[in-house]
Amino acid sequence: MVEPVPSTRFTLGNNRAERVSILGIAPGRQFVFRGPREVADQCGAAFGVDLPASPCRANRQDGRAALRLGPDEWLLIALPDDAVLASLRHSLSRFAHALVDVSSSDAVFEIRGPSTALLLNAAIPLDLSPKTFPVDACTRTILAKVGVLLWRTEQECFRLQVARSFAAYVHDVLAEAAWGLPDA
Amino acid sequence: MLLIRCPYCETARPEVEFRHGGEALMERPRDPSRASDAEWIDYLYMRRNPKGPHAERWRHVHGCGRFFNCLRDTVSDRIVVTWRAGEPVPEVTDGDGA
Repeated sequence: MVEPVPSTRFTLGNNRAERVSILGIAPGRQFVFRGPREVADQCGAAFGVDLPASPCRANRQDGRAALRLGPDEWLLIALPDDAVLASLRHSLSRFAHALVDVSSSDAVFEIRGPSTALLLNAAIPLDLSPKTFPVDACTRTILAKVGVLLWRTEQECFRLQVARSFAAYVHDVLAEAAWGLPDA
Repeated sequence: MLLIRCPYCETARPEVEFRHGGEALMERPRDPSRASDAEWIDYLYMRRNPKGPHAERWRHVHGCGRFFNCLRDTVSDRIVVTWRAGEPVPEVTDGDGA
């Protein structure tokens, strides 16, 4: 596995520090599962988290998460030391499916604070109000010029994944946008 | 910016997440080896260029990644309705697809 993206806790100066923080975190173990619904149910049983049936939703349990990215595509996220892949492969060996380890693909940011949605909307033209994008809503979208995966993990906390080579760009876009946040 | 309803994500999404995919509902000759040159040319190259409603394929490339169908008015750029690939053309009501 590749070294984690060098990332330090980024906080904003003065009174903005409490309003939003951008933190690089460990991506954990990540797998893309693709297959029909019946096999997705098998996969969910082996993974210990049901693969969501609703579009753009995430299910979580015991440090594992399953995010529905498309009609036949889910992202499975586990803790860094989770050896779940072998048991998944074993459980799914009789079914037609694709299961790919993408743990080294993305850099992950955790963006937290009361102004998080406002900050993200500087570069993401998506309605992030709690009504249309509630906790455990997730989707791929565009941030400035790059494709990202966005997941609202708490009311005021988003998990943002981006291809590693774009990590610095995404960080800097958000850092610059943060200076434009209105004073509290 | 247009808001386009993705029939797979079931929500209205910003235009920048999408790519245009050409005219929709093109029917490939059922038996290509028997198709005449004229039929192939028609299938491969000839496209409508209407003023008004136009059936198009769009792809939610920065979302779920799926191709779907879309009825767009080429005069007003209004997205009239969107529907999943392979499904019948829906009855057009007064919805705006977004």
